[in-house]
Amino acid sequence: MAKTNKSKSKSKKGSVKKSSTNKPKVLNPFEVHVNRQKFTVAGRKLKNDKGLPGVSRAKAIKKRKATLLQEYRVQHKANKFDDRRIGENNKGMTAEDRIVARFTAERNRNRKKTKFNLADEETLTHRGQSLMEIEKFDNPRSDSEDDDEQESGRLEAKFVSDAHFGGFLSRKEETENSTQSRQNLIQELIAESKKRKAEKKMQNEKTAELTEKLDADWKDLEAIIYQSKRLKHNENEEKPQIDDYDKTVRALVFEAKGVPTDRLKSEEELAKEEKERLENLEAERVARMHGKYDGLKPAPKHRSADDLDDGFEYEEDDPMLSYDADGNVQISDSNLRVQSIQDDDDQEEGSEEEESEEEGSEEEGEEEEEQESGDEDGEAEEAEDEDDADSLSDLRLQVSEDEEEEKPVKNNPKKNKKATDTRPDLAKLKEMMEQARKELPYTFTVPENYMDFVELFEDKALAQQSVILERMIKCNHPKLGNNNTAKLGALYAFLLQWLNDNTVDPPANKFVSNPNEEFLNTLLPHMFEVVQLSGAGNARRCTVAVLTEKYEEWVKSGANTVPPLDTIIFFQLILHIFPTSDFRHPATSPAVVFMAEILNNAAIHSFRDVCNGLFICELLTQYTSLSRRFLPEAFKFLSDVICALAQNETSPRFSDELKPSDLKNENLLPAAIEILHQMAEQSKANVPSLPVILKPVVKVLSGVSQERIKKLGNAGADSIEGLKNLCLKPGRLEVMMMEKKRPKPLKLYEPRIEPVIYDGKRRVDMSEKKREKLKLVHKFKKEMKGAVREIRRDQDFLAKVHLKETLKSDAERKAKVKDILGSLATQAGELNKLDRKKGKKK
Amino acid sequence: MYYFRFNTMISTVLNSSTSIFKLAEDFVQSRKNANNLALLVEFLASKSNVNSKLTNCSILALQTIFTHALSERSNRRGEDFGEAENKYHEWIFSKYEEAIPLLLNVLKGTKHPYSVREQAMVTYVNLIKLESLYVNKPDSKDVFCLPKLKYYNLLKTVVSSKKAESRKSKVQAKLLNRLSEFTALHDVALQTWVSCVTLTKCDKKVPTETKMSNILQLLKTTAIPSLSARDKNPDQLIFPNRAKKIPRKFFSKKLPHAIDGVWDNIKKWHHTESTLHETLLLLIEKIMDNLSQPKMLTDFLMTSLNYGGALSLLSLQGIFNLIQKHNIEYPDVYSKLYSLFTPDILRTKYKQRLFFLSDLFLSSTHIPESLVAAFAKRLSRLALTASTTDALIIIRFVGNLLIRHKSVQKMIHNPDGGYVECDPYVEDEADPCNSKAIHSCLWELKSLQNHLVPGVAIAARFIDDKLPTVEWDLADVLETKYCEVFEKEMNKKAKDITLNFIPPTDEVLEKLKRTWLVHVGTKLGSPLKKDNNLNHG
Repeated sequence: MAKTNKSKSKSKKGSVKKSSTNKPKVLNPFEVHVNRQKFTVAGRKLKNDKGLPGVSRAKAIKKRKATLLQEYRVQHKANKFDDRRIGENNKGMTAEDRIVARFTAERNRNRKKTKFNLADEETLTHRGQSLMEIEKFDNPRSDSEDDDEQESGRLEAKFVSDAHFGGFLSRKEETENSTQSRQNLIQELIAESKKRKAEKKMQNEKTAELTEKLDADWKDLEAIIYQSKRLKHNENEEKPQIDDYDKTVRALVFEAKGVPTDRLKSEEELAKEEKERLENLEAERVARMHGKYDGLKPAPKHRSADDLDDGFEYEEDDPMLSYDADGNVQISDSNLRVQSIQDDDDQEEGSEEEESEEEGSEEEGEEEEEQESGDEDGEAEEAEDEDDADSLSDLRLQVSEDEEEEKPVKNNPKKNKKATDTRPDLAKLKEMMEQARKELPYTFTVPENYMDFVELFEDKALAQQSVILERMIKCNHPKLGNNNTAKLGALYAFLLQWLNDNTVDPPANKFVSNPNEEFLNTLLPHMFEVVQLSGAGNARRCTVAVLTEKYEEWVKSGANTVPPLDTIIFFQLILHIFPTSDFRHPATSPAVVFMAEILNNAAIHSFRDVCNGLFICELLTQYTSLSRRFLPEAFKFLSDVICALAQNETSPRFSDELKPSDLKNENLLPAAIEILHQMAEQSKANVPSLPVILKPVVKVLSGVSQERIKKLGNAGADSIEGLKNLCLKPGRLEVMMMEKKRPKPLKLYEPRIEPVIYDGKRRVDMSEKKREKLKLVHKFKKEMKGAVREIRRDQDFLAKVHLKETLKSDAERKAKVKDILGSLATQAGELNKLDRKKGKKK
Repeated sequence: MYYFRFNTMISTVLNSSTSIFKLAEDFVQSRKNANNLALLVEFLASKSNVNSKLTNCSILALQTIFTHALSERSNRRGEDFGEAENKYHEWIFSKYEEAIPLLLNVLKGTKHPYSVREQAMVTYVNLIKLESLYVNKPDSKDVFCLPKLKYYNLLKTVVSSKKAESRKSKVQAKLLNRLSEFTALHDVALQTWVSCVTLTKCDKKVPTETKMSNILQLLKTTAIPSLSARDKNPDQLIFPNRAKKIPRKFFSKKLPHAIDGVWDNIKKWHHTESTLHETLLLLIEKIMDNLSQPKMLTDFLMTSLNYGGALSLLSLQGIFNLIQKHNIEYPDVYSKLYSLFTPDILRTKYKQRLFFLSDLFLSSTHIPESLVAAFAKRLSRLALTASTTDALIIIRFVGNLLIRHKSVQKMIHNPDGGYVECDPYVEDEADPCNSKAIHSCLWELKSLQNHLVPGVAIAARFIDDKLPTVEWDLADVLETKYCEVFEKEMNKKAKDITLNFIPPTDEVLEKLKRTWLVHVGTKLGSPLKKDNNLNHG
């Protein structure tokens, strides 16, 4: 090795080159093997253009020696020596490192034993003294004192300088102490030293004594001093407190910072906001009615190549500004249409409803306030109770506006009249409500289960039920937290069940009174409120569950009857709870399908069936009052009923058991005609084929004699006239044409530019998957070849080792044999020698 | 004296089901008890026996006995029996002959419930099967079939009935249904067709309606035997081992002959509407393809085509088959089809068949556009009053018509535009080509876009866009039921569920009250929107 280091030029091929110096490695040209290129390709980088076969071989051999050879050596050995002393196998550690590491391990091992014995910690020392002792500070004397003591215990510098070394040279000797012997001098010195020490000791003791005394005195004084100090402090503090400025500053500093709020809104603004909210809701409703509203902004279908990703979107529905031949501005039809629909709706129901809604919300607000303040003093609440009752009865019992409110009443006198009509009834109810208010407690919790609910509501008058519900809702308002939303959700489910259980179906042929109407009308407003508070999801789930149950019940009963009122009443509930004008709604659509199936399949067995059927039709009229859609089944049912009643025609719908006398009720025919008329009027605009639908009915109705029509009353006669008009005087029909669609613009994309790399690699156009596979196959082949090569080399290596071993053992044997033979020869020689000697003797 | 003793024995021995089964067991165990057979036969024959449970047991016991006795002999075939042995077997066979009509009596009689009668029938079939297996000589010509006369008697008994009472006919239907398990087997079916030639004959007396419908029911469930079944599926035969013994000519000659004979007879019946209905169904499904001269059917079908309704529909299908397979020309088949589309037909159960058939008829690309337009228009008109499910079918159907016939698309897209005062379509015109439908537009579809059921409304929107190039598959909607539409609406996932934001106002409630008042029975004199005279009842 040393040799190669010294003379690099002489180094042989295949020898291991190891430079101990840090000089940059200089390649020996004899060690380098160059792979010759046939052609030089510009820009091509080659990995394997040159190699160092000797170096790499040496490396490989070294590695094999470390791994394969070791394995070979312990090949058939059952036991092996494993030196597990710390750091013994680590060549990087020096002997000292090993010792340190072992010591640390030892310490750690010991510590493990006392893992939980916290008191037995190692004692730390300082100058051989335990730190614990030092930290006790028993002797508060500082080091400097000690030093002083030592210092003072010693002789004075002057004395020393005089006595010890300067003796011969100083003047003193000459002048005074020539007589004093050296012996004296030393004795004096010792005495001096002892005296000083004693003095010092006494002084120290005195100081300590004094200190202790002082400490003791101080303890007595301490209490008095602190007290007086505190008093003083207080006196001093009072002054800045008086300072208003400081006080305010401090108060302001620590006070929670006020968030800037909007100013209180004036009444007009509130009204305006409410109006805007309703307008928004209405706009959304109209959109849903046309099946366009999606809740969220629809994702843009097409992205232009020029899209800057800035969220700007080109809206297709934007009205294009265009001019006709005369230069007037044109606005596209569709836009106008939507607007006009909105306008219509607003005009029709918007104004009235908005007003009532506004009042409702205001009053609600008031009530809440009252409720809050009422908690503080119960008397005030009672005093206000009457007032409260008034506003509530307006809201809850759906009695129309009072006459005192003149503004809305002026617009529609008919309402006014109605109000007076229902006056006695209303007064009675009010009275009952008031009474109920007084009798019942003020707070109610929502019952845990339906049994409790029934217990609470059973045997209560309607007015009382209403009051209980009203208070229950107030006490469990979601804003009060406490999981109230879920509670109200449960309450809604109970109410549905309650409604179901308490709906009475009148007997088949006789109708004395109808308790359901009042019952439903009492519950409905509360249910509406509960639903608004408890969320749509719950309402939908409960309602749909009830609907499914009813549907299955009906299907089980054969699906060919008119269901009893306890089913139909839920249709009415859905009408009020959910928006019926939506194009598709998870609660109303199934209800509509259900009703359609009833009207389509049901056979009529009794007077009640006709009534219930008519009621469903009436409900459907309400369902479609905004969307103005139509349901053929309803038209069919009504025309069947009308034909049967007006001309006694037999229809397959009417069962044979039904006696004609059962249908002699003079109210049925006009009711059916009216409903049909209303339905037809509603869908007039949307259904161009209405005359075709109405044709058979109108034909039958024209055959009805004048006397009969007179009997039907004004409403019936008017409706017949209306139907005739709708059927026989249809408006002109617009020839159907598909709406012209804007031609789709060509999609313009920027050209796709791919970078071209001239690196000499073949780039075959193939799919990502295939390319990946090919890559893997290539890699596998490469690895396989490498592995085979390695194995072969391992075999070579082992063979060499083997050979070496054999040669070595052969050589040993040879040497031994030679040795033995040699010794034998010597032995023989010596024997001969002896023989020869004997022979000579002989 | 003997008879008396016998009778008392019957009444003493046969008083429980276990004792009856005991008799059968004893018989099987030893010949000593051979008289048990006589006892059982006598018991079955006795008029006094009304206990249906005991009757059932005795039938079962007879079946056990005969199964044992008949197979016993055949197992020892080839042996030379002694005279006594032969006599014994003769006696057993005579008892067998005695018992067979008794079984038919049970089957025929009304005094026993259905289960007993059914048992009698099954036992009868089993026994005659045993007879043909073991009693007939193996080299006989009819070795592959059941005893002819006995089988004919069975069919006759099952089919005929004295009174057409509703309960009984139900039993009859059940029996026929049970019998169909046998008649579905190909060799039995072969025999059934042959037997039915005689059965359907009505020379002197006119068969009752019940009998006619029973025969039709029987034939409907009877398989059309085929050679392939004989050769490849022996498990479809009653005698799988004797499959090869049925001669080929039975299939090629005798069977068509029998079917022709049956049809000739049925044709001559005095049909009522319901039997004609069933006849047509049978004709279309079974007989038509197997007649030797199907063209002869034309007259029959023409006549029944004029009945209207479902009958016309069925005969139309027959005619369609004739047109398709036998090249018959029928001049105004389209106008017949056209006239079929009335609101009533949608209520029959043949709705699907009608739509399927019309789709086939109108699939020709060589029919005039005025005709297609008339169909489209008429169907759309139907949809206006049809149920939701029918509306769905019709919308798809009309859509397919429009896709198929490009020129008819001007009914939904007339480039000229403008207005018309009234619909030019003539509804009452019988000839579809003269209905001027092509000059009209499909306003009906436009109306249906406002159908309250969203599924229909969406389906009707197809007229707003460019029509697809591929037709819709009608089969998807043909079977739709209301409950499926209901389910679909239930399961529709909504992103957010909206609530009504208008609280229930008294106006709405008042309006509804009007209908409630009908219940109450108060006089309604108020016009629609003015509720002036409203009073609470």
